[in-house]
Amino acid sequence: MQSSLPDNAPGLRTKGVLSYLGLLVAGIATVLLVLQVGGK
Amino acid sequence: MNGDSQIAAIPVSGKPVQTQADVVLHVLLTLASVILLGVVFSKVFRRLGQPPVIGEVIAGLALGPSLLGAISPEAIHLLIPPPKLDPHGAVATAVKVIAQLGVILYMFLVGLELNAAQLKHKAHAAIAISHASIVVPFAIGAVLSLWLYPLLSDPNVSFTSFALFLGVAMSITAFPVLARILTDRNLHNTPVGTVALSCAAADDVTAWCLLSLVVGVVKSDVEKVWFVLAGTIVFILFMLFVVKPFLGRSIGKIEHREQGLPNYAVAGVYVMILTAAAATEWIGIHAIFGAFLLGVVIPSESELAKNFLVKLKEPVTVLLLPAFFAYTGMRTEIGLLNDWSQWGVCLVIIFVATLGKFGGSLVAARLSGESWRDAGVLGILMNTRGLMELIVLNIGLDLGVISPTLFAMMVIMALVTTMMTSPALLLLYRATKLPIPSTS
Repeated sequence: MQSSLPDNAPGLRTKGVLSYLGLLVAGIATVLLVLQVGGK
Repeated sequence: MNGDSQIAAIPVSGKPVQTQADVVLHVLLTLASVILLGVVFSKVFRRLGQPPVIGEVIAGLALGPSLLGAISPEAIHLLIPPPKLDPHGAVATAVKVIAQLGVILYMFLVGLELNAAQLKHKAHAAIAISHASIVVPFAIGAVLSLWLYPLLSDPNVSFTSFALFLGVAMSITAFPVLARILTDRNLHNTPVGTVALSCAAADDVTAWCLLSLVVGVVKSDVEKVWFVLAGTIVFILFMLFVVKPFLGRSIGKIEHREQGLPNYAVAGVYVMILTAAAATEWIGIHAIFGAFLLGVVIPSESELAKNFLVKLKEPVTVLLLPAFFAYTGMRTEIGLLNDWSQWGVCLVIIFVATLGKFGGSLVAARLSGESWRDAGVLGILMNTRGLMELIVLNIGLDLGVISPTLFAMMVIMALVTTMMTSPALLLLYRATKLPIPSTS
């Protein structure tokens, strides 16, 4: 089976980094929100 | 064993209770039973296309209160004596110590097997997929805790501890089980197999770091959290920048100078494993983290690493680790799920855990440029929780952050998500009309 994962495609890499950061921020924000709501 | 020759332990009350020889007898019987049943169940589950660890875990559950205890309390007392004969729980404590030693050595081996070169391969994509596959289930687990906390938690446990712990428990991937499934299916050398292994390895490192922080928060007073945080960072830096170069140089010298590994080198490694484990236990994170990190910093291509992998793997996985399965089985009471609503909650936990891990990995893999099919394979593989999840759950139960009922539900979740991996992979292969990977 061939993986379609590109190693160094610059465009995809930028898009990947942005998506990665977006997911990370969204996830952390969700956890903080939950802790805020549930802690009350 | 002859009771006359035994030395009775006299407690403060003055009544003679469990003798030392009885404890040894019960522990030996427990170990022998769980090893034997584990072998039988592993064979059965292997025939069903499941990883052997499933059989071993179920053997532990079968010998505990969930099955043997429910069928025949007399039979289970041959293994675990009733409270009137063992009021201090000496047998359970002894099994726990053996189990902990087994898990510490096992995590050292997992660290040792973690090939840094493999991590470097497509490292950016692997780390991005891995982190996303932690963040998404972590966040979904935290959201789920809003519902589960009032239902299943002890009021003495803070919501923050509960939510963070549930988040970590949802995010675990079992690197060793995943590696085993990939090898069994001859997928380990395929590109998608390599990415999956790299992701799982990165997952392991990240998840254990997260767990160490969460344990710090759970053990809370704020000063202690800062101590744990600072201690963890200092420990990691010390291992990476002092121990790793030292080991690199020392191992190089030993391997160039002598034929075979000298005894002092082997003894030295054991001392380091135990010291590293003791250090992280003292810092306030679990002992296994120290052993794992020591395994990571030992060069995996060295003769020393290979020697330990060959010589230590069998006694650890065949003899010591079953004590962990027995200990987990002793603590798991599936009977606590005694009505349909609780089984419903258990199903929701399984669904959410799968959604978070499979969904998170799938989306991240797609965003990293994988095809839908490969992203699906990665999602299915990353949802394998296996033994790692049980280790995390036992830590949660020890800390009191999860109740025995939630512990039982999460153990079932760990089993189900691990068991669904192989059939789900086959389904995906059939659906995409690809040749089905054979079992090796």
